[in-house]
Amino acid sequence: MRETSSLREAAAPPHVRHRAGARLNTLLFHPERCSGCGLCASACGGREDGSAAPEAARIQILGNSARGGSFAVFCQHCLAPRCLAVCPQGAVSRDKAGLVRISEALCVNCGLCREACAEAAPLRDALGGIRKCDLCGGRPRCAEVCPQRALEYTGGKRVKWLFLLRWPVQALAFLLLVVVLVGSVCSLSLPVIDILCPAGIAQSIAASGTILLATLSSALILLLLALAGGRIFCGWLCPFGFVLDLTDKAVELMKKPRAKRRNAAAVPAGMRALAFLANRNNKFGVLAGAVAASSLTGNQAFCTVCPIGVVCRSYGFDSALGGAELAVIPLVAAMDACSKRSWCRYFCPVGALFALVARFSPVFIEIGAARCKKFSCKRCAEVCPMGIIDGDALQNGQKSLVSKSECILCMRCVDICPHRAAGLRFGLPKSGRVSNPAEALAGAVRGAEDSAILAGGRR
Amino acid sequence: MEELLRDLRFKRGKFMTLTEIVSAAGANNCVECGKCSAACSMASMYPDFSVAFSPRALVQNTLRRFSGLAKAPDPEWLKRCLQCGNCTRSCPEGVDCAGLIAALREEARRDGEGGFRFCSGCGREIMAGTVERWLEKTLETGKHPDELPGFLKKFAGGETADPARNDYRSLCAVCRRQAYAANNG
Repeated sequence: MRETSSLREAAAPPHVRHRAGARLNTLLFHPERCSGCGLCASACGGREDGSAAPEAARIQILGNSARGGSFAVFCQHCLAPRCLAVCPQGAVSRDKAGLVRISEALCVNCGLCREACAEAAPLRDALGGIRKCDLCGGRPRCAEVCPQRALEYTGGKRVKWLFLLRWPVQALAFLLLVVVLVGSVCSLSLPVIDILCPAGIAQSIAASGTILLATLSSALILLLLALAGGRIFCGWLCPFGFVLDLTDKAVELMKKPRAKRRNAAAVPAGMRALAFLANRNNKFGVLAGAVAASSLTGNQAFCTVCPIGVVCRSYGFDSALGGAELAVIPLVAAMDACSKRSWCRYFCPVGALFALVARFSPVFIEIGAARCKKFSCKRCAEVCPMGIIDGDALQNGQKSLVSKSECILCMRCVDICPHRAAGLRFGLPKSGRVSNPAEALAGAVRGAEDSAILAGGRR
Repeated sequence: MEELLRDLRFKRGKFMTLTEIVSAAGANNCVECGKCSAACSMASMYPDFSVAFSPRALVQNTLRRFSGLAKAPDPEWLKRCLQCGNCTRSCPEGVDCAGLIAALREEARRDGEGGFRFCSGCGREIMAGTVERWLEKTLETGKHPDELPGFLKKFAGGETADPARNDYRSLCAVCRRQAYAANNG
């Protein structure tokens, strides 16, 4: 009796305001737990009349003969549903609790939603009708009956603690390096040891033509940090990175909530000509240029205008350029409004040196573990300040490999992922090349050919 | 299951004569009630859905071709069909309109018409290029608003300005699920 009444009662889900980090209750599937018994499909198909009718289910269990595992296909309730965009009848809606529904009254079973969905999650029943998971209005039967607890109805983790950790660390580093300690990142003299900016040393060597062992070992300290922990300096310690992160926050607060998307054809030709700037290899060019300029001029040419240096040393009007180098800060902040951390992505020569070393570091970020909700979520790709999480790979249901030389280990992705599918991993250095997704898909189909029989016909 | 039955009657690559098409689809039973056109989802997709371009029109057109009153239909119209089978299901006389359109597509293909798409996994016919373009357009304009206006995004993110990789759309629904499961299971 409770069963039947709860369906109607729970039809209106609790009002949840959707924010970037809002918890949205959803079904989480753990492939490693699933035994492929199909109880979920039976319970789902019979939820109206109590019959065990898997063909009327909104969830489908697929066997994978290649790996021996099972996988459940069901609607993931995307944050930006493609089915909603394409439905010609306007039958698909998404409410504030994040629930994507197909209105039975409006749906004409054309199947365009299946076509637009990366998982083809809207299923056809025996009569050709489109059926899609509606989370049973808050009490999913499939999760209730699953003996292995492979299906879990959850809003994900509650506490996001990494940002509570990172902002204070960044602020403290900024305070120490800019206000308290003299010399800062560029040349820090501590009682026991000197720490020197590696890019500055490279220029110094080029300018003077002499290599001092003491300065070289001092420069190695930050490089060793990069070798051990990737570009963690950029994400957590760099004082200019802190300035950029604050700028991002300001831009985020100022931007309109629903910015109108402009037509790509409307891009002015001048802007398009500048597109070459947005290339991650530029920073190596800047580094090479800085070293070359130093050897020509005989002083550390780039250091005069280096944003990190300008922030740290703050020579003001007594500097060589009479304070003109301070213009770098608003300039880079304006670039930052175009894309987050654009200085770090494309131009920073210090970051370039770290990037060269960081690819051998044993620390990396893994995006898209088995329980990752891939195309439906992509929160990590949205939040990544370096823009290195491949949203297109996630859209195609694949892992996004994160380049160690570009990742600044700020761990925003780890923090925002509600289901702990993004995480910090330790391991031997791996080369991160994304395989051709079309080939991977075709290979996956070949591997799963005979499992179609197990899946029970064509649907 | 229904899709499977239709496949047996109207097989891909099996070209049928006009008589065979009409008899297999039962088109002679058509009473021109127009229920197929009322159920058709193309009505809300294309502004020129009309008495000249609709499932009913295609059935009648095929019948008139016997008496030389009509020519073969515009292949672009055939390619707009989603093959959802709504027309077949709604027909009170049991005419298989969707099957008829599938057979007419075969005819058009034999006459050298291109732009048909097949699943890269199993080879089944999937939605034609016309529908694919419609999808692309809808997805492009109805997109979740990004953090930046487009022209800034284009400027700032040269690497993200590539066309999105939507490889999954080259697969039919069945193969797509298999591929997704194999990638993530």
